[in-house]
Amino acid sequence: MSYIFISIFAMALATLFTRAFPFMLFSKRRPPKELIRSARLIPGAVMVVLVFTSLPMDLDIQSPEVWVPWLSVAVVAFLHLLFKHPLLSIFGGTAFYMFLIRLTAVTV
Amino acid sequence: MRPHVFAFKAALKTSLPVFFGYISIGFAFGFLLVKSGFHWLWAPLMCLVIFAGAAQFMAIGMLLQHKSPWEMGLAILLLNARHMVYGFSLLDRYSRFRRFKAYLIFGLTDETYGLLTTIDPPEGADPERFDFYVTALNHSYWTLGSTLGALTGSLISWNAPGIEFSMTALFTVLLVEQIRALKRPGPFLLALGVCMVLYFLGLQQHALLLGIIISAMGCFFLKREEPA
Repeated sequence: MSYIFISIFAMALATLFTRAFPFMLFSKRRPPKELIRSARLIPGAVMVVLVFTSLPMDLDIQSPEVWVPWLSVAVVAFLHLLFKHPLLSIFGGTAFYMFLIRLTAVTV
Repeated sequence: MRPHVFAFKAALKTSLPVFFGYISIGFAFGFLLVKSGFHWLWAPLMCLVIFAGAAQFMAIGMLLQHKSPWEMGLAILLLNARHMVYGFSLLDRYSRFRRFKAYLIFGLTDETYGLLTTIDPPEGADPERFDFYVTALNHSYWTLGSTLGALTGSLISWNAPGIEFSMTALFTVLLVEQIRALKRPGPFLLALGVCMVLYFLGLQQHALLLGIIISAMGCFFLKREEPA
């Protein structure tokens, strides 16, 4: 209980810090171009890490179907490139994944 | 029409696209949180005090893995590093504001930033008040959606195996958007390489934190090359 409270507080503080940082740092002077340029690249790299680490990798312990999450990620990306509709891509890809794990679970 | 009402109505109209997105993604967040074993009340609380989409999804995973609050704070700090970029580009606009400035900075999500930088306050509306209403409306959509999702999740007993993939799906969508926006492979290949090395070394447990730190630092050493 208190663990969740403290964790939420830490995450709220961290989020607020990222949003307030530029205003605290550059309340008087202009930010250097180099910093803005590099900061712009970070989200892309972070997304790769997030996709990679959020993949249900422990799947291969129960079944041999390691390709299921990877294929589902490809489906999400494909749907998104095709329709450019975030909700459709997320729900479509998740439904596809849920269908596949049911299908492959039969073989376990 | 009183100016406050006018500004509110304009903000309501401006924030409508975010309404649909926040209600549904918020719903998914609340649902997932409850299905991960947490009380539904945590959903509105997290939305009220954190108010960050991807970060809150990531928080579910980290809470389940019993990461330390310190580790969670740092991971979110790096995940939300993109918000610093937003702040830099709004320094000028917000510098004139006083009354709602602190709240505007707190509520600077991707979507709020997108709206405020794309749509100008209408003629005759106080810009600070307009920006405040847009931010507060977005905040309320997000909280409402997650509360509805959490309540739904705690009412229906249907357990949806595989629903947690919606987190990966959300990140994949954001990744596609990033690839489209950046138009250069460097940061993506760098992060992919870092992740693969971490898994190869058997550091899966710390891949999230280490991966984000190493990739973020790596970005500062990538060749300077602006997209065309």
